[in-house]
Amino acid sequence: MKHRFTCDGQYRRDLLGLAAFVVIVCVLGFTLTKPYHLTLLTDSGVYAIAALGMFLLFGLCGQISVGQAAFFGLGAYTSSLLVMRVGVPSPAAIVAAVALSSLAGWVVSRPILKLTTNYLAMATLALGVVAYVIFSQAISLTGGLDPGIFGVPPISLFGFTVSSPVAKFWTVSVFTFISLLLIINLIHSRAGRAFNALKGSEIATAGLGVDVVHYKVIAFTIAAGLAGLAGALFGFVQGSFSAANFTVGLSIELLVMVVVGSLSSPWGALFGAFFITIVPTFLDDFEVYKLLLFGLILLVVTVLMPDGLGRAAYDGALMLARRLRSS
Amino acid sequence: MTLQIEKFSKRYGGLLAVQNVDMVAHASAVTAVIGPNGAGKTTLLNLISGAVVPDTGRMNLFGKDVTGARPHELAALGLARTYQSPQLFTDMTVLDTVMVGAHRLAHGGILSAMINIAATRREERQIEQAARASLLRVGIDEALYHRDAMELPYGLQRRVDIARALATGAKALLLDEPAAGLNAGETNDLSSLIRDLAGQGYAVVIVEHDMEMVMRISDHIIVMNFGQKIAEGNPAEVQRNPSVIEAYLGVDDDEGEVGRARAS
Repeated sequence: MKHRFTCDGQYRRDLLGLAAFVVIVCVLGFTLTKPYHLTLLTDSGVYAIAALGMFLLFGLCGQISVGQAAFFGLGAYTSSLLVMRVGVPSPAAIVAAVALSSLAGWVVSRPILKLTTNYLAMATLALGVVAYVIFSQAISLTGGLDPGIFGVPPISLFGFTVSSPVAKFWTVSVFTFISLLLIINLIHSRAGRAFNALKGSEIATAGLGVDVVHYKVIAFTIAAGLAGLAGALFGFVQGSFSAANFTVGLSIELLVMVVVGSLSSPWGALFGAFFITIVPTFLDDFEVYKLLLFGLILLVVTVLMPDGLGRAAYDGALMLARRLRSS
Repeated sequence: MTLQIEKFSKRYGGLLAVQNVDMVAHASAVTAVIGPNGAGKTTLLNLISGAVVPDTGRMNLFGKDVTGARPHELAALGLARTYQSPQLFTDMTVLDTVMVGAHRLAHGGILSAMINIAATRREERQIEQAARASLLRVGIDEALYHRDAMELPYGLQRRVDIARALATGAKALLLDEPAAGLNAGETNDLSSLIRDLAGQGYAVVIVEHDMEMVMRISDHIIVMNFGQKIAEGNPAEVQRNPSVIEAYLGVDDDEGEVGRARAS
Protein backbone atom coordinates (compact mmCIF):
# COMPACT_ATOMS: atom_id res chain seq x y z
CA MET A 1 0.00 0.00 0.00
CA LYS A 2 1.56 3.22 -1.16
CA HIS A 3 1.17 6.55 0.47
CA ARG A 4 -0.64 8.95 -1.80
CA PHE A 5 0.18 12.51 -0.97
CA THR A 6 -1.80 14.13 -3.71
CA CYS A 7 -5.24 12.93 -3.33
CA ASP A 8 -7.59 14.81 -1.16
CA GLY A 9 -8.82 11.29 -0.44
CA GLN A 10 -5.74 10.30 1.53
CA TYR A 11 -5.71 13.63 3.35
CA ARG A 12 -9.35 13.15 4.28
CA ARG A 13 -8.57 9.66 5.53
CA ASP A 14 -5.83 11.01 7.80
CA LEU A 15 -8.20 13.70 9.12
CA LEU A 16 -10.75 10.95 9.82
CA GLY A 17 -7.97 9.15 11.64
CA LEU A 18 -7.47 12.27 13.75
CA ALA A 19 -11.18 12.31 14.58
CA ALA A 20 -10.91 8.66 15.62
CA PHE A 21 -7.90 9.57 17.74
CA VAL A 22 -9.96 12.23 19.55
CA VAL A 23 -12.79 9.76 20.18
CA ILE A 24 -10.41 7.10 21.52
CA VAL A 25 -8.66 9.62 23.77
CA CYS A 26 -12.01 10.80 25.15
CA VAL A 27 -13.23 7.25 25.79
CA LEU A 28 -9.98 6.33 27.54
CA GLY A 29 -9.87 9.61 29.48
CA PHE A 30 -13.39 9.17 30.82
CA THR A 31 -13.27 5.43 31.50
CA LEU A 32 -9.78 4.60 32.72
CA THR A 33 -9.39 4.96 36.44
CA LYS A 34 -6.16 3.14 37.29
CA PRO A 35 -3.31 5.65 37.49
CA TYR A 36 -0.98 2.94 36.14
CA HIS A 37 -2.85 2.66 32.85
CA LEU A 38 -3.18 6.42 32.48
CA THR A 39 0.53 6.87 33.14
CA LEU A 40 1.45 4.28 30.50
CA LEU A 41 -0.74 6.03 27.93
CA THR A 42 0.65 9.44 28.90
CA ASP A 43 4.20 8.16 28.46
CA SER A 44 3.24 6.70 25.07
CA GLY A 45 1.86 10.09 24.05
CA VAL A 46 5.08 11.86 25.06
CA TYR A 47 7.22 9.43 23.08
CA ALA A 48 4.79 9.56 20.15
CA ILE A 49 5.48 13.29 19.76
CA ALA A 50 9.22 12.70 19.48
CA ALA A 51 8.59 9.68 17.22
CA LEU A 52 6.51 11.90 14.91
CA GLY A 53 9.60 14.02 14.38
CA MET A 54 11.52 10.83 13.72
CA PHE A 55 8.88 9.81 11.14
CA LEU A 56 9.28 13.12 9.34
CA LEU A 57 13.07 12.88 9.33
CA PHE A 58 13.60 9.17 8.73
CA GLY A 59 10.33 7.84 7.33
CA LEU A 60 9.54 10.68 4.97
CA CYS A 61 12.97 12.17 4.19
CA GLY A 62 15.08 9.05 4.66
CA GLN A 63 17.58 10.91 6.87
CA ILE A 64 18.53 8.79 9.85
CA SER A 65 19.16 10.19 13.31
CA VAL A 66 20.46 8.22 16.26
CA GLY A 67 20.78 11.32 18.40
CA GLN A 68 17.26 12.54 19.08
CA ALA A 69 17.82 12.08 22.83
CA ALA A 70 20.00 15.22 22.68
CA PHE A 71 17.02 17.37 21.72
CA PHE A 72 14.66 15.46 24.00
CA GLY A 73 16.99 16.15 26.92
CA LEU A 74 17.53 19.77 25.89
CA GLY A 75 13.75 20.28 25.92
CA ALA A 76 13.39 18.66 29.33
CA TYR A 77 16.19 20.70 30.96
CA THR A 78 15.17 23.97 29.30
CA SER A 79 11.54 23.89 30.41
CA SER A 80 12.20 22.52 33.88
CA LEU A 81 15.02 24.94 34.68
CA LEU A 82 13.10 27.92 33.31
CA VAL A 83 10.16 27.10 35.57
CA MET A 84 12.21 26.22 38.66
CA ARG A 85 15.08 28.70 38.53
CA VAL A 86 13.68 31.64 36.58
CA GLY A 87 10.03 31.34 37.49
CA VAL A 88 8.78 31.36 33.93
CA PRO A 89 5.14 30.15 33.60
CA SER A 90 5.07 26.56 32.35
CA PRO A 91 3.35 27.23 28.96
CA ALA A 92 6.02 29.81 28.12
CA ALA A 93 8.71 27.37 29.28
CA ILE A 94 7.35 24.72 26.90
CA VAL A 95 7.42 27.20 24.01
CA ALA A 96 10.99 28.15 24.93
CA ALA A 97 12.01 24.48 25.08
CA VAL A 98 10.61 23.86 21.59
CA ALA A 99 12.26 27.01 20.25
CA LEU A 100 15.66 26.19 21.74
CA SER A 101 15.62 22.54 20.58
CA SER A 102 14.59 23.61 17.08
CA LEU A 103 17.35 26.19 17.04
CA ALA A 104 19.88 23.59 18.20
CA GLY A 105 18.61 21.22 15.51
CA TRP A 106 18.90 23.92 12.87
CA VAL A 107 22.44 24.82 13.91
CA VAL A 108 23.81 21.26 13.88
CA SER A 109 21.86 20.18 10.80
CA ARG A 110 23.79 22.39 8.36
CA PRO A 111 27.12 20.57 8.73
CA ILE A 112 25.66 17.19 9.72
CA LEU A 113 23.28 16.82 6.75
CA LYS A 114 26.16 16.96 4.30
CA LEU A 115 26.56 13.32 5.37
CA THR A 116 24.32 10.46 4.31
CA THR A 117 23.34 6.97 5.47
CA ASN A 118 25.88 5.31 7.79
CA TYR A 119 27.94 8.48 8.17
CA LEU A 120 24.86 10.48 9.13
CA ALA A 121 23.98 7.75 11.64
CA MET A 122 27.48 7.97 13.16
CA ALA A 123 27.46 11.78 13.32
CA THR A 124 24.05 11.89 14.99
CA LEU A 125 25.11 9.11 17.35
CA ALA A 126 28.12 11.23 18.31
CA LEU A 127 25.80 14.20 18.82
CA GLY A 128 23.69 12.14 21.21
CA VAL A 129 26.74 10.93 23.11
CA VAL A 130 28.20 14.44 23.43
CA ALA A 131 24.85 15.77 24.66
CA TYR A 132 24.66 12.95 27.21
CA VAL A 133 28.15 13.77 28.49
CA ILE A 134 27.18 17.43 28.85
CA PHE A 135 23.90 16.56 30.60
CA SER A 136 25.69 14.29 33.06
CA GLN A 137 28.72 16.53 33.67
CA ALA A 138 27.23 20.05 33.83
CA ILE A 139 26.14 19.23 37.34
CA SER A 140 25.58 22.79 38.55
CA LEU A 141 22.90 23.18 35.90
CA THR A 142 21.52 19.68 35.35
CA GLY A 143 22.27 17.89 38.58
CA GLY A 144 24.10 15.27 36.53
CA LEU A 145 23.20 11.61 36.95
CA ASP A 146 22.41 11.93 40.62
CA PRO A 147 20.32 13.68 41.87
CA GLY A 148 19.43 15.15 38.48
CA ILE A 149 16.42 17.44 38.47
CA PHE A 150 13.64 16.83 40.95
CA GLY A 151 10.56 18.59 42.16
CA VAL A 152 9.53 19.97 38.77
CA PRO A 153 6.18 21.66 39.45
CA PRO A 154 3.26 20.45 37.34
CA ILE A 155 2.13 22.40 34.29
CA SER A 156 -0.31 25.11 35.25
CA LEU A 157 -2.67 26.55 32.67
CA PHE A 158 -5.33 29.20 33.30
CA GLY A 159 -5.06 28.62 37.03
CA PHE A 160 -5.57 24.88 36.53
CA THR A 161 -2.80 22.59 37.76
CA VAL A 162 -2.00 19.44 35.80
CA SER A 163 -0.98 17.11 38.59
CA SER A 164 -3.34 14.08 38.58
CA PRO A 165 -2.63 11.18 36.19
CA VAL A 166 -5.83 11.86 34.28
CA ALA A 167 -5.05 15.58 33.88
CA LYS A 168 -1.58 14.68 32.59
CA PHE A 169 -3.16 12.24 30.15
CA TRP A 170 -5.50 14.93 28.79
CA THR A 171 -2.72 17.51 28.49
CA VAL A 172 -0.27 15.21 26.71
CA SER A 173 -3.06 13.99 24.42
CA VAL A 174 -3.80 17.56 23.36
CA PHE A 175 -0.13 18.10 22.48
CA THR A 176 -0.02 14.77 20.64
CA PHE A 177 -3.13 15.76 18.70
CA ILE A 178 -1.65 19.12 17.70
CA SER A 179 1.64 17.49 16.63
CA LEU A 180 -0.22 14.89 14.58
CA LEU A 181 -2.38 17.54 12.93
CA LEU A 182 0.62 19.69 11.96
CA ILE A 183 2.57 16.71 10.58
CA ILE A 184 -0.44 15.41 8.63
CA ASN A 185 -1.02 18.85 7.10
CA LEU A 186 2.65 19.03 6.22
CA ILE A 187 2.90 15.66 4.48
CA HIS A 188 -0.11 16.45 2.30
CA SER A 189 1.50 19.56 0.86
CA ARG A 190 4.11 20.26 -1.77
CA ALA A 191 6.67 20.37 1.05
CA GLY A 192 5.68 16.88 2.17
CA ARG A 193 6.03 15.64 -1.38
CA ALA A 194 9.44 17.27 -1.69
CA PHE A 195 10.53 15.54 1.55
CA ASN A 196 9.44 12.20 0.18
CA ALA A 197 10.99 12.82 -3.24
CA LEU A 198 14.43 13.64 -1.86
CA LYS A 199 14.34 10.32 -0.02
CA GLY A 200 14.06 8.63 -3.43
CA SER A 201 16.58 10.70 -5.37
CA GLU A 202 18.21 13.88 -4.15
CA ILE A 203 19.69 14.61 -7.58
CA ALA A 204 16.38 14.32 -9.39
CA THR A 205 14.60 16.36 -6.72
CA ALA A 206 17.14 19.17 -6.92
CA GLY A 207 16.88 19.06 -10.71
CA LEU A 208 13.20 19.95 -10.39
CA GLY A 209 13.91 23.20 -8.58
CA VAL A 210 13.63 21.93 -5.01
CA ASP A 211 16.32 23.26 -2.68
CA VAL A 212 17.17 19.87 -1.20
CA VAL A 213 19.53 21.19 1.49
CA HIS A 214 16.85 23.61 2.70
CA TYR A 215 14.26 20.86 2.98
CA LYS A 216 16.60 18.50 4.81
CA VAL A 217 17.51 21.24 7.27
CA ILE A 218 13.80 21.98 7.84
CA ALA A 219 13.05 18.30 8.48
CA PHE A 220 15.89 18.04 10.99
CA THR A 221 14.77 21.26 12.69
CA ILE A 222 11.15 20.15 13.03
CA ALA A 223 12.23 16.71 14.29
CA ALA A 224 14.45 18.40 16.89
CA GLY A 225 11.60 20.74 17.88
CA LEU A 226 9.19 17.84 18.37
CA ALA A 227 11.80 15.93 20.39
CA GLY A 228 12.21 19.10 22.49
CA LEU A 229 8.45 19.35 23.02
CA ALA A 230 8.34 15.69 24.06
CA GLY A 231 11.26 16.30 26.44
CA ALA A 232 9.57 19.33 28.01
CA LEU A 233 6.36 17.36 28.60
CA PHE A 234 8.44 14.44 29.92
CA GLY A 235 9.95 16.74 32.55
CA PHE A 236 6.57 18.00 33.74
CA VAL A 237 4.92 14.58 33.65
CA GLN A 238 7.73 12.80 35.52
CA GLY A 239 8.47 15.57 37.99
CA SER A 240 12.03 14.33 38.31
CA PHE A 241 14.61 13.02 35.89
CA SER A 242 18.35 12.84 35.35
CA ALA A 243 20.87 12.55 32.54
CA ALA A 244 20.35 8.78 32.72
CA ASN A 245 17.01 9.32 30.96
CA PHE A 246 18.67 10.75 27.86
CA THR A 247 21.15 8.08 26.86
CA VAL A 248 21.72 6.68 23.38
CA GLY A 249 19.16 4.04 24.40
CA LEU A 250 16.39 6.65 24.15
CA SER A 251 17.56 7.71 20.67
CA ILE A 252 17.50 4.12 19.50
CA GLU A 253 14.07 3.54 21.05
CA LEU A 254 12.68 6.51 19.11
CA LEU A 255 14.15 5.08 15.93
CA VAL A 256 12.74 1.62 16.69
CA MET A 257 9.29 3.15 17.29
CA VAL A 258 8.96 4.39 13.72
CA VAL A 259 10.52 1.25 12.26
CA VAL A 260 8.12 -0.96 14.20
CA GLY A 261 5.14 1.35 13.65
CA SER A 262 5.52 2.18 9.97
CA LEU A 263 7.91 4.33 8.02
CA SER A 264 5.25 5.40 5.54
CA SER A 265 2.63 6.86 7.85
CA PRO A 266 2.54 9.25 10.82
CA TRP A 267 0.18 6.80 12.50
CA GLY A 268 3.09 4.40 12.61
CA ALA A 269 4.86 6.74 15.03
CA LEU A 270 1.83 6.72 17.31
CA PHE A 271 1.47 2.96 17.13
CA GLY A 272 5.21 2.37 17.57
CA ALA A 273 5.42 4.64 20.62
CA PHE A 274 2.48 2.83 22.18
CA PHE A 275 3.92 -0.59 21.34
CA ILE A 276 7.44 0.13 22.59
CA THR A 277 6.10 1.68 25.81
CA ILE A 278 3.51 -0.97 26.60
CA VAL A 279 5.01 -4.29 25.49
CA PRO A 280 7.96 -4.35 27.91
CA THR A 281 5.53 -3.98 30.82
CA PHE A 282 3.76 -7.19 29.74
CA LEU A 283 7.10 -8.94 29.71
CA ASP A 284 7.87 -8.05 33.32
CA ASP A 285 6.84 -11.54 34.44
CA PHE A 286 9.66 -13.07 32.43
CA GLU A 287 12.27 -11.22 34.51
CA VAL A 288 15.76 -12.00 33.14
CA TYR A 289 14.37 -13.06 29.77
CA LYS A 290 12.50 -9.78 29.31
CA LEU A 291 15.06 -8.09 27.06
CA LEU A 292 15.64 -11.25 25.09
CA LEU A 293 11.91 -11.63 24.39
CA PHE A 294 11.59 -7.96 23.50
CA GLY A 295 14.50 -8.29 21.08
CA LEU A 296 12.91 -11.38 19.53
CA ILE A 297 9.62 -9.57 19.02
CA LEU A 298 11.40 -6.67 17.31
CA LEU A 299 13.36 -9.09 15.13
CA VAL A 300 10.23 -10.93 14.03
CA VAL A 301 8.45 -7.64 13.29
CA THR A 302 11.26 -6.19 11.18
CA VAL A 303 11.88 -9.40 9.25
CA LEU A 304 8.27 -10.34 8.55
CA MET A 305 6.75 -6.86 8.31
CA PRO A 306 9.15 -4.58 6.47
CA ASP A 307 6.73 -1.66 6.63
CA GLY A 308 6.15 -2.10 10.33
CA LEU A 309 3.75 -3.87 12.63
CA GLY A 310 1.38 -0.90 12.58
CA ARG A 311 0.98 -1.05 8.80
CA ALA A 312 0.66 -4.84 8.86
CA ALA A 313 -2.05 -4.64 11.53
CA TYR A 314 -3.88 -1.93 9.55
CA ASP A 315 -3.73 -3.90 6.30
CA GLY A 316 -4.80 -7.05 8.12
CA ALA A 317 -7.81 -5.28 9.63
CA LEU A 318 -8.79 -3.91 6.20
CA MET A 319 -8.56 -7.38 4.67
CA LEU A 320 -10.64 -8.90 7.47
CA ALA A 321 -13.29 -6.20 7.07
CA ARG A 322 -13.46 -6.84 3.34
CA ARG A 323 -13.80 -10.58 3.83
CA LEU A 324 -16.54 -10.10 6.43
CA ARG A 325 -18.42 -7.79 4.09
CA SER A 326 -18.20 -10.16 1.14
CA SER A 327 -19.30 -13.23 3.12
CA MET B 1 19.84 32.14 -27.72
CA THR B 2 18.54 30.04 -24.89
CA LEU B 3 21.50 28.11 -23.61
CA GLN B 4 25.14 28.76 -24.25
CA ILE B 5 28.21 27.15 -22.77
CA GLU B 6 31.76 28.25 -23.38
CA LYS B 7 34.91 26.21 -22.85
CA PHE B 8 33.42 23.72 -20.38
CA SER B 9 36.06 21.36 -18.96
CA LYS B 10 35.92 18.67 -16.34
CA ARG B 11 38.76 16.46 -15.20
CA TYR B 12 38.38 13.29 -13.12
CA GLY B 13 41.87 12.42 -11.90
CA GLY B 14 43.89 11.78 -15.03
CA LEU B 15 40.86 11.66 -17.28
CA LEU B 16 39.70 14.76 -19.11
CA ALA B 17 36.02 13.83 -19.33
CA VAL B 18 35.09 17.09 -21.03
CA GLN B 19 37.61 19.41 -22.60
CA ASN B 20 36.94 22.95 -23.83
CA VAL B 21 33.49 22.26 -25.17
CA ASP B 22 31.40 25.12 -26.60
CA MET B 23 27.74 24.65 -27.34
CA VAL B 24 24.70 26.72 -28.17
CA ALA B 25 21.13 25.48 -27.97
CA HIS B 26 18.38 27.63 -29.47
CA ALA B 27 14.71 27.82 -28.65
CA SER B 28 12.41 25.93 -31.03
CA ALA B 29 15.24 23.62 -32.02
CA VAL B 30 16.54 20.16 -31.20
CA THR B 31 20.26 20.06 -30.47
CA ALA B 32 21.76 16.59 -30.28
CA VAL B 33 25.01 15.55 -28.62
CA ILE B 34 26.38 12.32 -30.06
CA GLY B 35 29.60 10.38 -29.81
CA PRO B 36 30.96 6.92 -29.04
CA ASN B 37 30.62 5.48 -25.52
CA GLY B 38 32.78 7.34 -23.04
CA ALA B 39 32.95 10.45 -25.22
CA GLY B 40 31.81 12.63 -22.32
CA LYS B 41 28.22 13.25 -23.40
CA THR B 42 26.56 12.49 -20.08
CA THR B 43 29.27 14.39 -18.21
CA LEU B 44 28.52 17.37 -20.42
CA LEU B 45 24.83 17.07 -19.56
CA ASN B 46 25.69 16.84 -15.87
CA LEU B 47 27.79 20.00 -16.17
CA ILE B 48 24.96 21.87 -17.89
CA SER B 49 22.33 20.78 -15.36
CA GLY B 50 24.57 21.77 -12.48
CA ALA B 51 24.79 18.24 -11.03
CA VAL B 52 28.56 18.41 -11.57
CA VAL B 53 30.53 21.64 -11.30
CA PRO B 54 32.86 22.31 -14.26
CA ASP B 55 36.55 23.04 -13.62
CA THR B 56 36.49 25.85 -16.15
CA GLY B 57 34.00 27.45 -18.48
CA ARG B 58 31.02 29.75 -18.46
CA MET B 59 27.34 29.17 -18.98
CA ASN B 60 24.53 31.48 -20.00
CA LEU B 61 20.86 30.59 -19.66
CA PHE B 62 18.10 32.84 -21.05
CA GLY B 63 20.52 35.76 -21.08
CA LYS B 64 21.75 35.27 -17.51
CA ASP B 65 25.23 34.24 -16.50
CA VAL B 66 24.63 31.06 -14.50
CA THR B 67 28.20 29.80 -14.19
CA GLY B 68 28.47 27.60 -11.08
CA ALA B 69 24.74 27.73 -10.28
CA ARG B 70 23.27 24.78 -8.36
CA PRO B 71 20.73 22.42 -9.96
CA HIS B 72 17.69 23.83 -8.16
CA GLU B 73 18.68 27.37 -9.14
CA LEU B 74 19.01 26.36 -12.80
CA ALA B 75 15.66 24.59 -12.61
CA ALA B 76 14.14 27.76 -11.20
CA LEU B 77 15.43 29.63 -14.25
CA GLY B 78 13.74 27.18 -16.60
CA LEU B 79 16.13 24.29 -17.20
CA ALA B 80 14.99 20.72 -16.59
CA ARG B 81 16.43 17.34 -17.45
CA THR B 82 15.71 13.63 -17.65
CA TYR B 83 18.07 10.79 -16.82
CA GLN B 84 19.62 7.85 -18.62
CA SER B 85 17.95 5.58 -16.08
CA PRO B 86 14.84 7.48 -15.00
CA GLN B 87 15.49 8.69 -11.47
CA LEU B 88 11.94 8.15 -10.29
CA PHE B 89 11.07 8.30 -6.62
CA THR B 90 10.55 5.11 -4.60
CA ASP B 91 7.04 4.43 -3.30
CA MET B 92 5.47 7.32 -5.21
CA THR B 93 2.59 7.19 -7.64
CA VAL B 94 2.91 8.46 -11.21
CA LEU B 95 0.81 11.52 -10.42
CA ASP B 96 2.77 12.34 -7.25
CA THR B 97 6.06 11.96 -9.08
CA VAL B 98 5.03 14.47 -11.72
CA MET B 99 3.56 16.74 -9.04
CA VAL B 100 7.03 17.03 -7.54
CA GLY B 101 7.97 18.47 -10.92
CA ALA B 102 5.30 21.14 -10.48
CA HIS B 103 6.73 22.04 -7.06
CA ARG B 104 7.80 25.49 -8.17
CA LEU B 105 4.35 26.52 -9.39
CA ALA B 106 3.34 27.19 -5.79
CA HIS B 107 5.08 29.18 -3.09
CA GLY B 108 3.61 28.12 0.24
CA GLY B 109 6.25 27.58 2.91
CA ILE B 110 6.48 24.96 5.63
CA LEU B 111 4.50 26.90 8.23
CA SER B 112 1.78 27.71 5.74
CA ALA B 113 1.55 24.00 4.84
CA MET B 114 1.07 23.11 8.50
CA ILE B 115 -1.40 25.85 9.43
CA ASN B 116 -2.96 27.51 6.39
CA ILE B 117 -4.97 24.51 5.23
CA ALA B 118 -7.26 26.27 2.74
CA ALA B 119 -4.40 27.90 0.85
CA THR B 120 -2.46 24.62 0.81
CA ARG B 121 -5.44 22.70 -0.62
CA ARG B 122 -5.79 25.36 -3.34
CA GLU B 123 -2.11 25.05 -4.20
CA GLU B 124 -2.34 21.28 -4.24
CA ARG B 125 -5.18 21.39 -6.76
CA GLN B 126 -3.22 23.81 -8.94
CA ILE B 127 -0.14 21.57 -8.79
CA GLU B 128 -2.22 18.49 -9.58
CA GLN B 129 -3.72 20.20 -12.64
CA ALA B 130 -0.28 21.10 -13.95
CA ALA B 131 0.90 17.52 -13.39
CA ARG B 132 -2.14 16.11 -15.18
CA ALA B 133 -1.53 18.43 -18.13
CA SER B 134 2.09 17.23 -18.42
CA LEU B 135 1.05 13.58 -18.19
CA LEU B 136 -1.56 14.13 -20.89
CA ARG B 137 1.07 15.68 -23.08
CA VAL B 138 3.41 12.69 -22.94
CA GLY B 139 0.45 10.39 -23.47
CA ILE B 140 0.21 8.45 -20.23
CA ASP B 141 -3.12 6.76 -19.66
CA GLU B 142 -5.07 8.19 -16.74
CA ALA B 143 -5.60 4.66 -15.45
CA LEU B 144 -1.91 4.60 -14.53
CA TYR B 145 -1.85 7.84 -12.50
CA HIS B 146 -2.18 6.10 -9.18
CA ARG B 147 0.17 3.24 -9.91
CA ASP B 148 3.61 3.13 -8.35
CA ALA B 149 5.82 4.91 -10.93
CA MET B 150 8.70 2.47 -10.51
CA GLU B 151 6.48 -0.52 -11.27
CA LEU B 152 5.72 0.74 -14.80
CA PRO B 153 7.44 -0.68 -17.89
CA TYR B 154 10.64 1.08 -18.83
CA GLY B 155 9.20 2.99 -21.77
CA LEU B 156 6.49 4.49 -19.58
CA GLN B 157 8.99 5.33 -16.85
CA ARG B 158 10.88 7.41 -19.41
CA ARG B 159 7.71 9.28 -20.27
CA VAL B 160 6.97 9.92 -16.60
CA ASP B 161 10.50 11.30 -16.35
CA ILE B 162 9.81 13.63 -19.29
CA ALA B 163 6.41 14.64 -17.88
CA ARG B 164 8.07 15.47 -14.57
CA ALA B 165 10.60 17.71 -16.36
CA LEU B 166 7.82 19.39 -18.38
CA ALA B 167 5.80 20.03 -15.21
CA THR B 168 8.52 22.33 -13.93
CA GLY B 169 7.52 24.77 -16.66
CA ALA B 170 11.08 24.72 -17.98
CA LYS B 171 11.67 26.00 -21.50
CA ALA B 172 15.03 24.30 -21.90
CA LEU B 173 15.02 20.50 -21.69
CA LEU B 174 17.99 18.17 -21.44
CA LEU B 175 17.08 14.58 -22.37
CA ASP B 176 19.68 11.94 -21.58
CA GLU B 177 19.25 8.98 -23.97
CA PRO B 178 15.46 9.21 -24.07
CA ALA B 179 15.14 6.37 -26.61
CA ALA B 180 17.29 3.83 -24.79
CA GLY B 181 15.37 0.62 -24.26
CA LEU B 182 12.38 1.71 -26.33
CA ASN B 183 10.93 -0.34 -29.18
CA ALA B 184 10.45 1.07 -32.69
CA GLY B 185 6.90 2.24 -32.08
CA GLU B 186 7.78 3.94 -28.80
CA THR B 187 10.80 5.59 -30.43
CA ASN B 188 8.55 7.00 -33.14
CA ASP B 189 6.14 8.42 -30.56
CA LEU B 190 9.06 9.91 -28.67
CA SER B 191 10.46 11.49 -31.85
CA SER B 192 7.19 13.20 -32.63
CA LEU B 193 6.86 14.36 -29.00
CA ILE B 194 10.33 15.92 -29.17
CA ARG B 195 9.56 17.60 -32.51
CA ASP B 196 6.27 18.90 -31.05
CA LEU B 197 8.09 20.36 -28.07
CA ALA B 198 10.59 22.11 -30.34
CA GLY B 199 7.64 23.34 -32.40
CA GLN B 200 6.16 24.88 -29.25
CA GLY B 201 9.30 26.86 -28.56
CA TYR B 202 11.25 24.56 -26.26
CA ALA B 203 15.00 24.35 -26.60
CA VAL B 204 15.62 20.60 -26.53
CA VAL B 205 19.08 19.12 -26.00
CA ILE B 206 19.31 15.36 -26.39
CA VAL B 207 22.10 12.88 -25.86
CA GLU B 208 21.24 9.82 -27.90
CA HIS B 209 22.71 6.69 -29.45
CA ASP B 210 19.85 5.97 -31.86
CA MET B 211 21.45 7.60 -34.93
CA GLU B 212 18.43 7.16 -37.14
CA MET B 213 16.33 9.11 -34.66
CA VAL B 214 19.01 11.75 -34.12
CA MET B 215 19.41 12.37 -37.86
CA ARG B 216 15.64 12.59 -38.26
CA ILE B 217 14.74 15.01 -35.47
CA SER B 218 17.83 17.17 -34.89
CA ASP B 219 18.37 20.68 -36.18
CA HIS B 220 21.93 20.79 -34.96
CA ILE B 221 24.31 18.02 -33.95
CA ILE B 222 27.43 18.18 -31.82
CA VAL B 223 29.82 15.25 -32.09
CA MET B 224 32.11 14.41 -29.19
CA ASN B 225 34.99 11.99 -28.86
CA PHE B 226 37.43 11.61 -25.95
CA GLY B 227 35.88 14.62 -24.20
CA GLN B 228 36.34 16.98 -27.10
CA LYS B 229 33.97 18.38 -29.64
CA ILE B 230 35.19 17.02 -32.97
CA ALA B 231 32.45 18.33 -35.26
CA GLU B 232 29.12 20.08 -35.40
CA GLY B 233 26.51 21.06 -37.93
CA ASN B 234 23.21 19.92 -39.34
CA PRO B 235 22.62 16.18 -39.83
CA ALA B 236 23.82 16.16 -43.45
CA GLU B 237 27.03 18.04 -42.63
CA VAL B 238 27.84 15.81 -39.69
CA GLN B 239 27.36 12.62 -41.71
CA ARG B 240 29.80 13.86 -44.35
CA ASN B 241 32.43 14.96 -41.84
CA PRO B 242 35.54 12.76 -42.16
CA SER B 243 36.58 13.01 -38.50
CA VAL B 244 33.09 11.89 -37.44
CA ILE B 245 33.26 8.90 -39.74
CA GLU B 246 36.66 8.06 -38.36
CA ALA B 247 35.53 8.39 -34.74
CA TYR B 248 32.61 6.08 -35.32
CA LEU B 249 34.08 3.65 -37.81
CA GLY B 250 37.75 3.59 -37.02
CA VAL B 251 39.97 3.89 -40.07
CA ASP B 252 39.85 0.25 -41.11
CA ASP B 253 36.30 -0.66 -40.20
CA ASP B 254 33.47 -0.11 -42.63
CA GLU B 255 30.50 -0.66 -40.34
CA GLY B 256 29.26 1.86 -37.79
CA GLU B 257 26.32 3.78 -36.49
CA VAL B 258 26.71 6.79 -38.78
CA GLY B 259 27.37 4.58 -41.77
CA ARG B 260 24.27 2.55 -41.06
CA ALA B 261 22.15 5.65 -40.63
CA ARG B 262 23.38 7.01 -43.93
CA ALA B 263 22.68 3.75 -45.69
CA SER B 264 19.13 3.57 -44.41
